[in-house]
Amino acid sequence: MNQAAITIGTNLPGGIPLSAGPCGWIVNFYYFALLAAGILAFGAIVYGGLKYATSAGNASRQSEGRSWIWSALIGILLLAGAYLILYTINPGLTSCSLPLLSALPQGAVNGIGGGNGSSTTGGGSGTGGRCQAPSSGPCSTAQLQGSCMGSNNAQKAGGVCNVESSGNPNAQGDKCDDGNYASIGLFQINLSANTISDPTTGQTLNCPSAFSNRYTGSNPHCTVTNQSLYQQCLAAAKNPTTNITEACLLSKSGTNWSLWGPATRKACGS
Amino acid sequence: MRKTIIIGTVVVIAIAAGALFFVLRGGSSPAGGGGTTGTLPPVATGTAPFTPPTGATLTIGTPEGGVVMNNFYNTTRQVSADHTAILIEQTSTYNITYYAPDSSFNILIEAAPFETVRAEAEQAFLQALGISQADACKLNVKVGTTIDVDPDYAGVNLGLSFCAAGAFQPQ
Repeated sequence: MNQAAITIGTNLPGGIPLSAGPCGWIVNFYYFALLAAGILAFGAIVYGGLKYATSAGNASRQSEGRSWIWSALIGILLLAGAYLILYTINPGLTSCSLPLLSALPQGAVNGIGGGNGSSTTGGGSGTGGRCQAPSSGPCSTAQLQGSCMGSNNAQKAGGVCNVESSGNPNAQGDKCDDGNYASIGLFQINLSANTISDPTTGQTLNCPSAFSNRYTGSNPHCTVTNQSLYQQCLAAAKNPTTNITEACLLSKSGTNWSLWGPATRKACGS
Repeated sequence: MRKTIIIGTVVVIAIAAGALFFVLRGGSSPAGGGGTTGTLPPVATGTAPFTPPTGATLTIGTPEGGVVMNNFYNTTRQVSADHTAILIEQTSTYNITYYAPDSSFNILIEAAPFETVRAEAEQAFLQALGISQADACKLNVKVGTTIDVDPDYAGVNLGLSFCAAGAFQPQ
């Protein structure tokens, strides 16, 4: 049976985009309440003004009109005041974010070794760390904080970047049958599955069309059918800024890593 | 009095309409915290003129003094479009990349066994830069692998084997 794709109303009136998750619901409700209250207050002021203007000297109607206007103004003040008061007390109160749970280092659980090493060796020198942002390079928290990942998600993004590429912009993985690689760069962007922006022209490169098929865990067989396009995609994905931007898009600014492989999700969480 | 109230009403209506318009156009998002997707900053287009360092050698500053090395910009295999990543050496088992913003080097081991490949990569690193082991230990060098190659070592800085601070020994 053929089914037509239907997009159900994705935005609030006025073009305000809907957000997902518990925090998103609160944001959506706030916007909706703001919109509804604004419209109601606007209507109340108009109604009160008209009532006053058409009172023809009737003191009772004048008083009623004034009352409508003042009530509406107080309503607007309360609406804006709620945000201003919370923001004045602590700007963090106006920002909703869920705490991120990260995996404990193996050593911290079983008490073996130096803590930051691998699970099989039980530690090591502690110079690295599983799914931890490195102290330098493009995957470091300092570098990613200035990117689209933002300060809240930079640390986890750095951890993902570290396990995916060891912080090396030229990392290559997921080899196709012809020796070309499908996953490239800091976040190992799968070019057989994703488009990418060309950093020199700004154009979107349709990288999947350079492959015979998509490289997946269940079907790791592919070949490059358009070498010229593949080379363009390769250069774009090896560009640190482009790779981070693409990872931002795919991970929703570092909040959702479900598109990455099971090993990475196991090490870093989704 | 009546005139004042009418004018006041019109002014308030105009302000309310303006504020509503501002909110609807997505001006500020007071509660736009973790649940929302941020706006992506513009991507560097790489159109800015890039002048690589000239000369046969270049010096990288470290806390223990400057290290003079071969100018690898002269022999680089590839410079990224944003001019931050310089590919110094690449084989089927490792690659050596310089990251300009913080003057760090990254040696990526892309095949097992680690001991053997790391030794080869370290030798290539010293040779490409034309520096001694002592000078190499002054530099900010990360040696690591990816989760595809070995999930156990991914994310760990193996370090240069001949440096006291980076002598992590894979087993």
